[in-house]
Amino acid sequence: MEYYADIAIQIMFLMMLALSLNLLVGYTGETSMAQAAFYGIGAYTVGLLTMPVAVAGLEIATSSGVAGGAGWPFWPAVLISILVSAAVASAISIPALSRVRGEFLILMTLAFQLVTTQLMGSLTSITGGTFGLTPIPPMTFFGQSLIKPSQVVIVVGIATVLTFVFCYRLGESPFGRVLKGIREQETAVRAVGKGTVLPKVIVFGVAAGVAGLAGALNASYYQVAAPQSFNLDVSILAIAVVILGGVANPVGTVVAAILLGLLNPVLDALVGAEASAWRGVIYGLALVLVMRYRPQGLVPEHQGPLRFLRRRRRRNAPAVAAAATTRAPRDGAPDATPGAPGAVPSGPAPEVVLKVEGMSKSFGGIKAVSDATFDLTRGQITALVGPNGAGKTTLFNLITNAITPDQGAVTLNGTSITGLSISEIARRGMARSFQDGRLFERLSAIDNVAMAIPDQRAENPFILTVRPLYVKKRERAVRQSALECLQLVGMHADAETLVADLSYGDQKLVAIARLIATGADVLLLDEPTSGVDPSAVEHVIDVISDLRAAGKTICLVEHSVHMVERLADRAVFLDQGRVLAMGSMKELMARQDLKEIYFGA
Amino acid sequence: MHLISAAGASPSLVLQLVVSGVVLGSFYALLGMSVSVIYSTTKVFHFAHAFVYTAAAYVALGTASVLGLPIVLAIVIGLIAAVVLGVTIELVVYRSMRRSGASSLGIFLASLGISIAGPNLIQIIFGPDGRNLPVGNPTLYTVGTVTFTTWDIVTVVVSWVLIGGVLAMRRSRWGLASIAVSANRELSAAVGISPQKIYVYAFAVGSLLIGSAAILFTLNQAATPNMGLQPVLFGFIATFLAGVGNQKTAPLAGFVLGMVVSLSGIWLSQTFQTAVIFGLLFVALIVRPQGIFRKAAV
Amino acid sequence: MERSEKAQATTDRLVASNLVCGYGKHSVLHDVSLTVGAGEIVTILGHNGAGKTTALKALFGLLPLQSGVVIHDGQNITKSSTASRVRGGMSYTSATSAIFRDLTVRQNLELGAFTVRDSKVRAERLARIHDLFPVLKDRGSAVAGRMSGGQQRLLSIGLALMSGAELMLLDEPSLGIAPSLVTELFESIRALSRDAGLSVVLVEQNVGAALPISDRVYYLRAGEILLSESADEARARDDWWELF
Repeated sequence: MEYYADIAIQIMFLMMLALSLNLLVGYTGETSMAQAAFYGIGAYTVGLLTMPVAVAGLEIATSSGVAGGAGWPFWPAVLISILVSAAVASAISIPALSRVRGEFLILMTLAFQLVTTQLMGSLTSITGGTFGLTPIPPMTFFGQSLIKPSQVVIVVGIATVLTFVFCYRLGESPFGRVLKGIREQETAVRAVGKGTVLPKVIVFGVAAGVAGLAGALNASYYQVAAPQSFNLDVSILAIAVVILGGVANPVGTVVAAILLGLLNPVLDALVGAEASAWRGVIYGLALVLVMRYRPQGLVPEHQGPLRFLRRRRRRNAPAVAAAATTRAPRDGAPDATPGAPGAVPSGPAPEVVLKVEGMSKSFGGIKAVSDATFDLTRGQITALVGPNGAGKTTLFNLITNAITPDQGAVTLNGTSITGLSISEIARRGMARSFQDGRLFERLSAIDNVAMAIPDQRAENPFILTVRPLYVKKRERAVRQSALECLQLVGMHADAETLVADLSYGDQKLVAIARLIATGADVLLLDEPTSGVDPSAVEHVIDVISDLRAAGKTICLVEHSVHMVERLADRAVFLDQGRVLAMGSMKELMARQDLKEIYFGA
Repeated sequence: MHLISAAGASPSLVLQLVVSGVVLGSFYALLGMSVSVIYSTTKVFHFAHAFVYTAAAYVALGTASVLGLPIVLAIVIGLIAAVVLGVTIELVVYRSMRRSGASSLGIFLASLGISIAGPNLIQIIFGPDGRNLPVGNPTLYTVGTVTFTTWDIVTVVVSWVLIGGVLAMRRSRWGLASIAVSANRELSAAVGISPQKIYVYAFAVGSLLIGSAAILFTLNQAATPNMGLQPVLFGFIATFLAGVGNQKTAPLAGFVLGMVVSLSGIWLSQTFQTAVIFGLLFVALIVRPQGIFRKAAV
Repeated sequence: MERSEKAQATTDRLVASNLVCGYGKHSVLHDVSLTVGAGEIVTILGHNGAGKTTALKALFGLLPLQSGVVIHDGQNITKSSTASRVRGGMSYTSATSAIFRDLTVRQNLELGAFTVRDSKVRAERLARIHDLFPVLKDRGSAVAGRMSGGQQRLLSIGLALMSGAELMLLDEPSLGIAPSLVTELFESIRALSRDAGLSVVLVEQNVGAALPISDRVYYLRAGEILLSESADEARARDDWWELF
C-alpha cells in the first residue's frame, strides 16, 4: 500500500511539473529548460522557512550544517515558496522574452538551470550542499503531521487535481487564447492591439509558481531538498512529458506523466541499479521518435475527452445554430453590425480621417519612401499604386510604426499617433492586415477573430481567477461579437474550423474579419486578393465594398490595376517612394507621364 | 585547467591564471568553432553534439583499454566514431525531419532526446564512474613561478591548428560552398550547390572538432557519461556571443570566455566560475543580442 | 517578326505545359504554359503579384509543382533537382537576392561555376566575363553588397554566365538601377542572345525596357496567361493598362 502510494506521489509531482511547463511550451510556444530550477527553489524555500529556528548553544538544529530555518508553519511557507519561484522566474524572463529568437530563451534558461543546481550544491551554509537541506519538517494538514505516503498522497492528489483544473482553465481562457496567439504569430497579436511581453512574463511566473508548489510539497514529503532532485535531467524529463503527451493538451500531459512515471518502478524491478540510465535511454529515444513520426504527441492539441465535451456544448449554443445557415447573401450583411464595434459615418462632408505628412525612410542610403504626404477620406477606399519597389508596403509599415520612420508625422482623427506602437495604434482605431495573412493557424476561425476584440478584461489572469462568472459572461459576449464579424465576411458557418484547414481564400476572409473585430475605423489592407482563387475574388471584393458602405475608411495596397479600378474611389500613385499623383484610377491611367513611369515606356 | 584557490592577487598568481586562461581559452575556442561550424551553416540547435563529444572519448578509451590498441590508433578511431555519429544523426534524424517539414524547435527537441539517450546508453555499457585515457602522466614544466604540463601545450597547439585548418578550408571549394549556403541558401541552390551535402560536410567537420576537444579533455581528466553537456553549452555560448553566423569570431569569443573564467579565479573560488560565465552570457545577450563583435565581412 | 519566325523554326529549348503551383495552400499559378526557342528572348509581363516570379521558380525547380510538365532540350526535367538543371545549362537570377552580398565579387563568380569541375573551363569563363564586364575584374576583391546597384546586376548576370547557362531565367534585372544603365544592361543581354545563342526568359515590369530586346511576350494576370503575342504586336500598343 505505502509502496504504491509512493509511486503515485512521484508520478503526481512529475504531472504538476509538466502541466505547468505545458503552459509555456505548449500554449505559449516558448521552451524553458529551467522548470526544475523553479521546482527546486520552491523546495529550498519551504525547507528554510519551516525548519526550526537555530538556538544559540544548540548547534545540532539540523544535520546538514545549516544553522536553522525560520520556524514557520507549513502552509504559509508553501505560499511564500510559490511566490518566490514565480518572482524569480518573472525577473529572469523579462530580458529573455523580449528577444525574438527561441534559441536565446533555451540557452538562457539552460544556463539558469545549471547555475541554480550548482549554487544549490555549493552555497553550503544556506542549502546544506550536495547532501541537501535536511531534516525538513513534514507537511501538515488540519493540524496533523503527514509522514506516511498513504496520507501524503491525499494532499498531493488534491494539489495535482487543482493544478490540472487551474492549467486547463487558464489554457482555455481568453488569456490562454492570447498565449496561443503569441505562439502562432506574435506580430499579429500586436497588430490587433495587444501587448505580448506582459502575458509572456506572467505565464512564465505562473508556470514557475506551480512548479514551486510541487517543490514545496516534494521537500516536505521527502523531508530533504537536495540538488540532484532539481537538476537539468528533471527539467528535460518534464519537457519530454509535455512533448510526448502532446503540446497544449493537459490530458496528454497526464497520460504521458503516468507512462513515464511508471517506468521507474518497472525498471527498478527489471534492471535494479541501472534503472535510471535505462529510463533515460527510453524517454530520450521516445522523444526522438515522437518528434520524427508524431510531432503532435500522443493526444494532439484539438483532441481528447474534454475537448469533445466542450465542442459539443458549443455546437448546441443557440447563436451558432442560428447563424449556421449557408453563407449569408452579401447585401443584407452591413446592418448586422451591432456587436462588431464599427462607426457609422458621422458627418456628410468629406472628412479627413488620416493624415500622413512628410513620411521618409532610407535603408542604407537608398530612399525607400521620401517625403510622402497624403490623406484618407472617411468612408472611401484609397489604393496605393505604383511600379514594383515604389514603396507601397513600406509606407504601410511606416504608418503603423512597424518600421520607424526617419521623418514624418501621422495624424489619426486629429490626434498625432506618430511614434506609437502598432498595438497602441490599433487601440486608437487604425489596424492593418498582412500580405501573408499571419493568422493563428492552429486556432479556430472564431478564436482568431475573438483575439482581436478590444478591451477584454477577461484576458487578465487575475480577474480570470477571482471573477469566474464575470469572465464567463464576458467571454460569451466576445464570442458573439466574433461570430458577427465572421458573419460579415460570410465565414460564420466555419467558425469552429481550424484556420489551417480552411482554403487560402477563406483564410483571407478570416483575416478581414479579424481586422473588423479590432473595431478600428481605418483599415489598411495589404493585397487582400493576392493568391485568392479567381472564383473567390469576387466575394472578397464584395466584402471590402460592404465595409466601405458600413462607414469604414480603407487604404489598400493592390498591384492589379484591374482590381484597383473596380474597388478604389481614389488612388495614390507612388514611384521611388514619392507621391506623384492622386485621383481616380481613370484619371491616373490617362496621364502619359504616369504611364511612362509605370511601364517604363 | 588547474585548481585555483581564492587567495589574494599576488603577481605570480595572476601570471599563473593568465597561462591557465590561455589553455582554457584555447579549449573553449575549439568548442566555439565546432558549434559555430554546424550552427551557422545548418541552423540546427544541435544539442546532441554533447553525445558526440562523450562518444568520441569513450570509443577512444574503450578501444585503448578494452581492446588494448595503441593509444594513437585508439584516438583516431575515437575521432572517426565522432564524425560517423555526427553525420548519422544528420542523415537519419535531422534530414528526414526537415523533409517532413519539422520546425526548428522540433529538431531541437529530437536532438535533446539523443543527448539524453546516448550518454545513458554509455552509462549502461561503461558504468557511471570516471574513466581515464591510458596516456600516462604529462611532464611538468616550471618557468619562474608558472607551471604547466605537456597536455597544456598539446591542448593549445592542437586547438589552434584545428581552428586554423577550418578557417583555411573556407577558401576551398567545399568551404566556399558552405559559406555560400550559410549566407544565402536559395541562391546556393540556384548555382547548383546542394545544401544537403553541405550540411553533411558541416556535421562532419563540427563532429571532428568536438571529438578532438573530448580527447584533449580526457588527457587531463576522467571521462564520465555526462561529460558532454557543459562543453557543448560553452560552445553555444561562444557562438551566440560571437554573433550567430559569424564563424570567424566564434573561436575568439571562446578564447575570451576562457580567459575571463580563469582570471575570475583572482576573486572567486572555482565553484562560482560557471556562475560567472552564465552571468556574462546573460548580460551580453541583453546588451548585444546580435553578438559582441561587429559583424565582419566574410 | 523575322526573329519570331526563326524561333518557331528552331526546336524549342524549353516547353512548360499546364503548370499549377504555389506556396502551401496559397496557389499562385493556375495552368500556365509557355515555350522558349533557342536564342529567343521571351518576356513575361504582368502586375506585381501576378505570379511572374513564381513562374520562374517553378521552371527552375525551386518550387514543387502541383501539376504540369517542364521539358528542357527534349528532356523531361519536371522532377529534377535545381543542381541538375544548372548542369543541364539552366540558370535563375532572382530579383532580390541574385548575388552573395557578403562575399567578394571574385568569390561570387567562383560560386557561379560551382558545378564546373574543370578548372581550365572555369578560368576561360572567368576571362570571358571579365572581357564582357571589365568592372567585375577591376573590383574583384570588393564585397559584392557594397557595390552600386548597377554593378550588382552585372555581377548577377556574370554569376549566371559562369555556370555556362544556355537558358537564363532573369527576374526583373532592371529593379533598382538607373534608367541609363537599364538600356545598357538589356543591350548586353540582347548581344549575348544574338552572339552566343542564349535563350532568356525575362520577367519585367519595365515594359519599355524589355520590349525592344524581346521576341515574344506573355501577359500574366492573377496566375493565368491572359495573352501571348509577338514583341512587335506588343510594341504597337498605346498602353498596357487593360493587361495589368
